[in-house]
Amino acid sequence: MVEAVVRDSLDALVVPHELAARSARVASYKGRLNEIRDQVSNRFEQGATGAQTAGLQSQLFDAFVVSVLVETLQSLAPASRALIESHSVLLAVGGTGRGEMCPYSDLDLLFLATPAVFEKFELVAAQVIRDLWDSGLKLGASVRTVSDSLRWAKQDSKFATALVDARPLWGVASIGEQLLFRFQRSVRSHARQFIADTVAARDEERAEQSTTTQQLEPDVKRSLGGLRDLHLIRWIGFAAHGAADIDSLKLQGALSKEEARRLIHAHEFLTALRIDLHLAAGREQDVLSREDQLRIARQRGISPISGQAPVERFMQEYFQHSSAVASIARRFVASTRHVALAERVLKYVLAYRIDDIYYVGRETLDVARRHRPAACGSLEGVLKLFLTAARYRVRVAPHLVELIRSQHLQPPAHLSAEASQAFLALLRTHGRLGQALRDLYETGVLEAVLPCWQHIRCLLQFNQYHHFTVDEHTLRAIEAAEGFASDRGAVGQAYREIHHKELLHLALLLHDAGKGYEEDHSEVGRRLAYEASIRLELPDHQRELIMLLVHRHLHMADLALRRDIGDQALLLKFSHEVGSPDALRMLFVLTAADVSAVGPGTWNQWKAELTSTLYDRTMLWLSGKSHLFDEATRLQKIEQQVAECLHTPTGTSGGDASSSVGAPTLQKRLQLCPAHYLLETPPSRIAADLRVVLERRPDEIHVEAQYDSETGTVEYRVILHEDLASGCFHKLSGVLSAKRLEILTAAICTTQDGTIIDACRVRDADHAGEIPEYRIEDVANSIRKVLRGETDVETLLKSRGRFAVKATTGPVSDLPLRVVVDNESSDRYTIIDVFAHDRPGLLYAITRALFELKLSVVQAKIATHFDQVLDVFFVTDATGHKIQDGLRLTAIREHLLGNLSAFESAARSEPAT
Amino acid sequence: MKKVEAVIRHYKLEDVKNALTQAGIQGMTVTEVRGFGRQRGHKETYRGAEYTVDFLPKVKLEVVVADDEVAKAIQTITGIARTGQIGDGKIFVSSLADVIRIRTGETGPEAI
Repeated sequence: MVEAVVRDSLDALVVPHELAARSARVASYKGRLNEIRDQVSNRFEQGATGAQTAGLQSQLFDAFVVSVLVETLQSLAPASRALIESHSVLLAVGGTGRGEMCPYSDLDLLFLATPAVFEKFELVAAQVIRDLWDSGLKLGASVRTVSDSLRWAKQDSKFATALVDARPLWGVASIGEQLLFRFQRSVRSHARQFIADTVAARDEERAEQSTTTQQLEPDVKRSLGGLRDLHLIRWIGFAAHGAADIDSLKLQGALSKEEARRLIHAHEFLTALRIDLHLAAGREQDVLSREDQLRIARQRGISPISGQAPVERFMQEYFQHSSAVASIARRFVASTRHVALAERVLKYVLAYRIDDIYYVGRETLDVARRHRPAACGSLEGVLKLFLTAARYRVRVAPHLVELIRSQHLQPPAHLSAEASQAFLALLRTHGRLGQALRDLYETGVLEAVLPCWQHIRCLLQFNQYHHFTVDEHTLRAIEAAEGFASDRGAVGQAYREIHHKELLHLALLLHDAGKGYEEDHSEVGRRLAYEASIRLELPDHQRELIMLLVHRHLHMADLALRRDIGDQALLLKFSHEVGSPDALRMLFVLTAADVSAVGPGTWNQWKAELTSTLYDRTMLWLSGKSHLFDEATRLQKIEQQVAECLHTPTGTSGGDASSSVGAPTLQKRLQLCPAHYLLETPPSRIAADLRVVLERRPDEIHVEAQYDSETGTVEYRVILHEDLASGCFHKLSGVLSAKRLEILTAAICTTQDGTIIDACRVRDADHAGEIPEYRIEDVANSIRKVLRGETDVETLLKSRGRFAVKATTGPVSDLPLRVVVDNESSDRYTIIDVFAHDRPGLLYAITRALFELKLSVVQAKIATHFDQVLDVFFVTDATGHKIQDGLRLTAIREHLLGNLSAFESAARSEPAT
Repeated sequence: MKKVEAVIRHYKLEDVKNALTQAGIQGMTVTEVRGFGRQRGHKETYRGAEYTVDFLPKVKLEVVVADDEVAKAIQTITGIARTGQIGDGKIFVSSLADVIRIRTGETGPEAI
């Protein structure tokens, strides 16, 4: 609109002979502007502060603009000039009005005139605007009357906020005052609307910003915590308190002394930085690029300290200022949201009250006034407050957060049990955890609980990879992990299956805490994890888990993305290190959350697929379960295939009378079988087993063996009812060992009606090639005898002299003996993972030990790779329940470890035959 | 000038990159890709439980070299990326009309 007017008046003004005069004029303006900038630049280089430099620049620009206006008026007839001079005013608005100009800032002007001289003044203003524009200034200017300005201020939030900072440069001051008086009255009476519009405009500006630049190359004006947030405080202050500058707001009590101090410091820091950027670029440049960061850190002579480059220290200072501004601005805005009386009453009535201390509203949690000192004054109180809020999935009310911040809680030397319990309970929640931790961090409480967080506050990692400072990255990682709760892929499933989510969240909080030291951050992190676990009084096994997760948080991504995950040796080593399914789940989610929090789009399909594959393969080693397929669908398919096998009898042994198995019987039978058996056994084999089960006499012990020429191994299958023998598995492995058979793999299961189906794949040390019938018959007979109690394993062993028949060379692999008892992964069973070197008789030693411990093995998976064995046992106590007693779990582990190390050393010392 | 595009096993990337740098071939573009050739996705077998994955994660490496360096680049890549198994990948070589360095405006071999 204004532009159109300006263009029209341009045509009216420009006559050919004036062209030459104009270009001479513009050239002289350009010269004066350059002089001003040189002067400002010199003063800045001589050490003037940002505020001084900006002040000088404003002063010089003001004078320049006024001189241009006065010179333009000279060309008018004296009468009209006098008329204009007595009915108009030039206002500096926006940044120009605030008097904080940077070398290449826009010039914000408002030419204001009474209706009587408006048209004449408009022509003058048009020429001034055009001349300034041509001399290289960027202008935000308009020509208006008072009522026009007021109307426009209601429609346009930017114009309204610019008016807040208006100040007269030239002309009849009373016209300006009239506008400002009416403007202020209108704003104060519609304060809520004004504030809402202003905040919305700021949010929008910032949202635009964050899509184009990341946090690590911030815009000193527009990014979060930039100069614009300082302006926001001015504007809101103007509407809510009638005062825009920091000092007045402090006097009124709207800002605390501490806040005012921090804002003034930040203002100086940001202003000086912006001037620097403008001067270096020779144009308006507000983005603090990596090159600028390096240059400024160098120019300011910042020295490196251990583990932190100068540029990282400089940026840490930047982020300390910007996060202070951002949080004060947020608090300030929130504090002006006046709640109407009716709303307050409604809130009170609707709020859910706990013990008359906490009030749970729809969005926030408040505390009764008289309980506030207790709830916000101690670490225990604050943590409980946040825990309560997290449980009700609401935020702690902003004024309480502010109250907590003002307490400046210091890290205690020792955390009370109450505090650490509350903190762990908070970490156990998910959904609103990220927000709660952000609030705790902002109030300094997180550092009181975990002092290692002090070091990473605003810590920047100067590389091309990370988009966020360490603290922000970490909080984002927690939010990413929480977000996986609704993820439909492998990560989501893993996250949902984690029982102790607080351990994962704690590991996430600590995973990068070792950054910014000289030493490798994973190593430092491991020590910090140790300290944090001691501080939180975690039990030993949880402490070890946290240390493992923090120490090895890069390991899984490294393996998945850079190594051949089809390599069995690698999988075995990785399984050995991780130890249990639950630890694997946590490491998997931690990896995904860590990578996601590096920046947008970093956790892509490609990475997800590779990491999930590694997860899945390792999970197969550790628990025998895969997530890659939908179990229900597969089971259905397997049932069909088994049915087909049953109805088209194959040439294998077994009667063909079984074709009488009807569909309902089959379904019922299969339902009794555990899922792992159905999923891992070929359908034809299941069908054969089923025939045996159906035709078996009640007291029969069925043993069959099948030679596989491809692998040169024999599979022994034993099917019987559990009432016929106790400790069936250890007896079976004992017989096989005694018969000099090397057990490669074993899979055992018990159906719901008590049928045991055990299968062992063995290599026969005594027979090369096809195993003769008599040998198989001999083994089968021994198995039957031992199971029926007619003889025992020890006797068989003795008759053989010893069972360590195979010459044992030293172990090929250097992995130590390891026993991991995992009580988290399954609701019904305790899972025991044993990593050991394979020796003849090993499985018997393990299973006998389990039998001695009165444990019942429900499911087992034995796998051998080179000389390394990973055996997984799902066990229950004699009554069929998972072992819950912590002492007993420790005892089990100790007993197994003791037995196995004795077994290993005995086998080593035994002379080879 | 030739563009050499190599689709290789992802875990060979580090080694191939280092070898190329050592051979004096600087600057490359790497893309995470998925695809299949004759390998057709792997069939995972675990005790009879079978599942197939259709597309395999691979990386694509692009380098642009002068004509007399093509042979060296190809030898370096094949030397490192070959395991002898199905799925080692492929190398595509194509001629380039021109190369321009944006910063300086240099063209042709100087811009590589």
